Amino acid sequence: MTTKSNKPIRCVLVLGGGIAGATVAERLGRAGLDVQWVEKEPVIGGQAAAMGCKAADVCLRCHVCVATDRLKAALHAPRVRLNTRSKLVALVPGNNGAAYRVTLRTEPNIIRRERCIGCGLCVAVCPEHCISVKYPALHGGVPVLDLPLCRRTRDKACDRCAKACPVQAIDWKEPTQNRELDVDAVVVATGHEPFHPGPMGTFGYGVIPNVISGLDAEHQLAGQHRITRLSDGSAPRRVAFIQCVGSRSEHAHRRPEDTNYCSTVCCAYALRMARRIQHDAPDTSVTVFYMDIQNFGKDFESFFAACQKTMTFVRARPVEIVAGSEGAVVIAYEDQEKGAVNKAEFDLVILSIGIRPAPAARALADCLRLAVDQEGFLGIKGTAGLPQTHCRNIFVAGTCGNPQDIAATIGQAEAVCAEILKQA
Amino acid sequence: METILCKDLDPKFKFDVAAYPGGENIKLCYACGTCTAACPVAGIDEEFNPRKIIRQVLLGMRQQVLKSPLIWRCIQCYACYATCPQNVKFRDIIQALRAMAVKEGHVDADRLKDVKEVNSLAVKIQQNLINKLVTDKAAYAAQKKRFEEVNAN
Ligand SMILES: Cc1cc2nc3c(=O)[nH]c(=O)nc-3n(C[C@H](O)[C@H](O)[C@H](O)COP(=O)(O)OP(=O)(O)OC[C@H]3O[C@@H](n4cnc5c(N)ncnc54)[C@H](O)[C@@H]3O)c2cc1C
Ligand code: SF4
Ligand code: SF4
Ligand code: SF4
Ligand code: SF4
Repeated sequence: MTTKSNKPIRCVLVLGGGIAGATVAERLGRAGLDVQWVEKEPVIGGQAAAMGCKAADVCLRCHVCVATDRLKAALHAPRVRLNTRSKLVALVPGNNGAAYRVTLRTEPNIIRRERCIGCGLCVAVCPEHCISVKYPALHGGVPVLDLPLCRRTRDKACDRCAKACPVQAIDWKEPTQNRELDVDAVVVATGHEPFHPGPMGTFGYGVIPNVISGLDAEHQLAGQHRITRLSDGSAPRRVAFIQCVGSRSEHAHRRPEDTNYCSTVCCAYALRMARRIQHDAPDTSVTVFYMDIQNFGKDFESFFAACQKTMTFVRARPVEIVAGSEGAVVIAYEDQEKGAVNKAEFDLVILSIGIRPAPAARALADCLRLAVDQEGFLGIKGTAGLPQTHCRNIFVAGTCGNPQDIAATIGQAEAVCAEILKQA
Repeated sequence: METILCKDLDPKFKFDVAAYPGGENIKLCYACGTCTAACPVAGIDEEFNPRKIIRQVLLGMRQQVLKSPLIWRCIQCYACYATCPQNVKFRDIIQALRAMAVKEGHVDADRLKDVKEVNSLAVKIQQNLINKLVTDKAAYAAQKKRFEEVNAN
């Protein structure tokens, strides 16, 4: 329950630099509140920033571009202080009327974004290839350093990047900092983890090159604007999607959490990807293996009807995927019309993976003393409204609270802002 | 297409199956067919289909299911059980159906024992063939032919 605090909300801690956190940070900053925005990675963006546009001849409303625009706007919003490579380490009752006193730990970013001119010289000289540009649409050419790969973290001498940098933006001396802040409210927007299909051994992910996940396909769309086979880089002629991988199953992941829920985003993104593939190469056949297609939004029905004209929908959950000859992939399933086992061959299989709670969500919930639902998402859900945290002025927004798409995430983040601004 | 007459259906059937230990998840079935695709018996026997048997139970086809020889063909291997996304435990449902078939007088109680005997005989035949395969390929081919001839009758 969020009871009214005595003091108006002036300063807000926003945890998470995905689309949910960005929406909250930007809205509140523009409304004149002080925002401390915390992201654990060196750059903001979250999952959506690494996804690709799925427009065919017309926009298919996957909202990936909307997310990019929102994230960009948040980077330039007034009164928003961004702390990258930072984490919340403690939260206690606050002083001077503030609701909470929080401790943030900031690890060094190494590459100082305020100095970097995005020339890319460091990227070229690093012998371990640990410097790369992430989300250029958001951050231009400013690169990030993947510390675990860097020679210096393995006690070896190396300063090639620092020597190459023309503007001394690479700073190895910056220390790890702990800072204490008083805040009036906390918004938790720490997002989700896309399901990793590796534990579903019979589906061959990570073993058969032409079995990829929906996330891999998203990354391909973002990077190269088309979906290709990993084995030879060719455009597939026969594509299969397998729905509900990692969702709606008691068994799929063999983790302690309850995983028997619909991730709500994968039917929509898979069909949009399929449309995109058939738009780029109209003679590509698409087969969708599904249990039932979950329709969301008022346009989905007509979109689905259009998909049914050009794609084959097979009601079955495959039991096994094996490698065929010349990079082909064979799917074994029950052909329910015949009532018998069938094997069908494809050039590329895309596993429509779903949304899982982030592995660190429970530790964060402990730190904040937040309620967690039975699936491991944050906050307790009623029949309507925002997830309830049962902590004063602590709010949950986005996929850390529920599996949901970008549009719903933005909507929920806006609703959290409205709650906060009521008390500002 | 098979015609099913409502007057022949017993809506209580699925509750009776669900009341048996191991049968409790039958109503969760998605009809996704993973069990059938995984089942080694369905792989060689087009008549045997776990998903269909579950549908028949849910529809209430009590007489057809319990009288049918199909429920005795399962080899209790757990493949359906391990792959089902809804933890329907079809292997255990087969046990429930067999117990009900006995209880409701469709077969005599010896059937349960006899089927166990058949299963262990089948495993012995498999062992025999595999041992020959490993030690003596010619003997394996001869033995296999013999079993195939016996099996054809
Ligand atoms: C394969 C796939 C395809 C998808 N395709 C689409 C699509 O086409 N259209 C669509 O609308 N939706 C799509 N979605 C859903 C979409 O990804 C989510 O709706 C969206 O990313 C949710 O944003 P978020 O801010 O809640 O979380 P995230 O994007 O996960 O962002 C969370 C951020 O918080 C940071 N963080 C985590 N923990 C901490 C911490 N303790 N402290 C500080 N920071 C932290 C993370 O590093 C990350 O930057 C797809 C999802 C998947 C899995
Ligand atoms: S060399 Fe320096 S300025 Fe150039 S991209 Fe690297 S950090 Fe930025
Ligand atoms: S959205 Fe579709 S693919 Fe994803 S879990 Fe739900 S039904 Fe399965
Ligand atoms: S695998 Fe499970 S859910 Fe799917 S049809 Fe078989 S029993 Fe039903
Ligand atoms: S337990 Fe029976 S029904 Fe299940 S897979 Fe094995 S043989 Fe088939």
